[in-house]
Amino acid sequence: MQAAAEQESTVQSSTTPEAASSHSLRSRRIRLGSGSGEREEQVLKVALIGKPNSGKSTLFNALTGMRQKVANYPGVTVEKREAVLTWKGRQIRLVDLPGTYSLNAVSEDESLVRDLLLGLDKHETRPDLLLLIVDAANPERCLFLASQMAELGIPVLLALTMGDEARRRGLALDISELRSRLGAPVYEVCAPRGEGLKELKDALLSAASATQSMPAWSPAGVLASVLEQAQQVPGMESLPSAGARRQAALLLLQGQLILPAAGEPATAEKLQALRQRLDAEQPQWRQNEAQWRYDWVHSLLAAVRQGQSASQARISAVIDSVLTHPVYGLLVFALVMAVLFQSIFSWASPLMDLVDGGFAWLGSAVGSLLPEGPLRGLLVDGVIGGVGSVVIFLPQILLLFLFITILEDSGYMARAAFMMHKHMRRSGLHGRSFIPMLSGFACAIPAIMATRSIPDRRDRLVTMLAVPFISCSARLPVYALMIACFIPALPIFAGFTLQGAVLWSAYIVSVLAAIVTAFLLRRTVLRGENSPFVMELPPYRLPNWRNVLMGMWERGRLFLVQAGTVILCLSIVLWFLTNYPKQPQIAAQYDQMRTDAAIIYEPGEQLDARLEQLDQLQAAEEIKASFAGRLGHAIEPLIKPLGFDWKIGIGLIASFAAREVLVSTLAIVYGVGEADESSQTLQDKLKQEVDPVSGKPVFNVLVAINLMLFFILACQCMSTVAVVKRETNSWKWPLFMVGYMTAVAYLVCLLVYQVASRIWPGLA
Amino acid sequence: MSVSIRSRNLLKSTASQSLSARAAGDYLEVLSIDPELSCAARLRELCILEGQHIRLIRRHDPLLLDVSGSLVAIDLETAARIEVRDASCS
Repeated sequence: MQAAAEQESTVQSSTTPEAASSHSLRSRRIRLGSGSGEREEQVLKVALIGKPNSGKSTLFNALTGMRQKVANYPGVTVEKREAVLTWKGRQIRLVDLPGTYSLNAVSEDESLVRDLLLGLDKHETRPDLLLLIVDAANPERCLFLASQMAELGIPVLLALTMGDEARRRGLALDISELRSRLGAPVYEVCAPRGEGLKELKDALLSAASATQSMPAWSPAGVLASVLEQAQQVPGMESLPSAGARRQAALLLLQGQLILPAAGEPATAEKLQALRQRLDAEQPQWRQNEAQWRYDWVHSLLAAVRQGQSASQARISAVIDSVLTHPVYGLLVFALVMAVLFQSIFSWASPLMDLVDGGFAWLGSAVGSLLPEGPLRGLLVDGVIGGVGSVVIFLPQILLLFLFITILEDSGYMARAAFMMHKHMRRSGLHGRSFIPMLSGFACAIPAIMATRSIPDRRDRLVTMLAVPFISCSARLPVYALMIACFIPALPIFAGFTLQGAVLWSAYIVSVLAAIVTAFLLRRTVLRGENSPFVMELPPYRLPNWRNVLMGMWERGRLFLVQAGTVILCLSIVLWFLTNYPKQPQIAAQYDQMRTDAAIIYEPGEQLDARLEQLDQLQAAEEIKASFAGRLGHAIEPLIKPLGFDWKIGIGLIASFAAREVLVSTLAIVYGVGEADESSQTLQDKLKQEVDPVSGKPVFNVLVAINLMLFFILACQCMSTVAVVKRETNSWKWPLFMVGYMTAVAYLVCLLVYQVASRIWPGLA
Repeated sequence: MSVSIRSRNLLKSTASQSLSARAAGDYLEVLSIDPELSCAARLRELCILEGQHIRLIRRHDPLLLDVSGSLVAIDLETAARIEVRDASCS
């Protein structure tokens, strides 16, 4: 306590008055222990800031190890990574901010950084210290950011990363000269080898209270007085420093609505008048700040840079001449994507089977410990079944993020977006939409999570709403069952059969549906100017395996915790609908039939077969009488025009948990028991099922195709709904998605069935 | 406003052209960026700013630029709103 008080007094005596006063406001204490023996300790909040691909996350991982926690910033979907570490008796809370080039925000991630640093964030306090990462091999843009950060009234400590890479290229920075010219502490670190970390942690403790004297931009001419006037906008007075107020004023003049008052007509009008004055009297005002900062950066580098470097761009350009070549580049890209797709699609299968088997074992183990009743049903079918339906996706998610992180760290992901931008733009998508779209073939959940790399909100939303149309692996059992039952294996061409062509067509239709959706959304509810494509391509680098594995694990964990909670709740609801109300008379009737069977048959195979048959018939009777069964009957008039009866209706309702559930639900409804898409018994049952009214078969080629179409187009996946809800932080877009996809599925199926059954009555 | 800036730039150098009209390999000086361009500030932060020298590496959409030793990709639409001239003219 005394030490903390001494530290605080040291802080106040050694910083500038402004920094000291803001520091005392920022000083926080956390309570450790409880009761009268509790002690208070001051926690130093340090924010890591840097441009994308500067080695920021590698340094954060090296400083914090497994102590870090990943969550979302309140109210937004931006990932917040932070960790508390203790160094020399002092607690340091390290926050890894999203990569940014400046306070001028163009994405949700960057807006968060801007608001936090300007003191506009209502949920987070400003940091006590900025740990600014400077890529020694490519320092220009990092120093640009440093010069802007130094004016915010928060002490800055610079960490030089990528020193090895710089030296390999014959480049070095004179650190003591850099320190003296910057007037701020500078430390070189090699995070992958852990070099310089102790010194850096020592420096963190002292830098927050050190006096700094980095040169500041001084606006010239009319801009200076206009910036003064813009600082009269209501809300400015709450900003913690003069530098923050000036930066905020500049952002307002550039049209960023960073304060609520800026959206009010009177204030907006004043700002517009100020902008017009600047345009008339000082037309170059927009370039003034960037020009000054880069002039300063270049003069600084001229003094501290030693040696001549081969241009990073030229080295990368040699590799890029192949990897981004219009023809060879696309071939390499196709190969990389094939490996990614194959890995998610098939390499994950053994692990998914393992998870599936594990939960089946757990369910039966828990089931055997509990007596028959609602609690057993809830725990085994609702909770364990529900959790299992989430965890089963984990291998796919981990593999996807393993590949995505490797591609990002190596610098190839930026190239993929670069190559695909032109093609994706035609349908209203962004170059960065390509990876999520491709991942959608495996599973929409990781694909939707992968849209986080898309900076523009509209582009991201369009991608999120288009991805669920892509045929995921969960649709395959439905396609396989329908094709095996109703599409003949007629040879078409060179070994290809009609069955293969129908399956291939299902995938093509899903891609077309996604493209048309993106095209329509971009021209209706999400219309707006195409967001410009401006992207710095990072140099090629070997991925850091620690980063890759930690990133993969954290993203997987976040999925389990957040999406899993919603999915679990929905699973319990679905379990209730398919299991209630209980029908004691059905149970009593089948118990009597079992007793009769035990009298009629000798113990052995015949009795076992009869008992199994009775179990299946009872399950079919019970689901028919359940709420889901009643719903199936209730929706029958609605789905009859699509060629579906109430039994298929139950399948449609139950498969909202997961699409592949349709197969097992049909197996229950038709009294087959446990079955998968390859079950001959289930296939035979479907072929034999006859409509009691018309006497015609319920299933035929047209119904099979229509059912496949419905599964391609409808949003039959609550996990997808839950993830879109999580990623958009609202129910608006997931509900829109469900409504839109269901409407499209219904109308297309209605059109296909009604038209086809009239043109080709033999099909129906 | 953008018209007046363009006019001024045209007076400075008759070789002024939009970046989208230049050929791969050209070494260029940035003369002006359309102030209405939503990403103008981001371009400047990436050091694509007035007076800066850049090299056009790839001409296909998106274009690829060497800017102070780093690679920056921009789409053709954006490039059309950046005025440049041969760096040797400066």
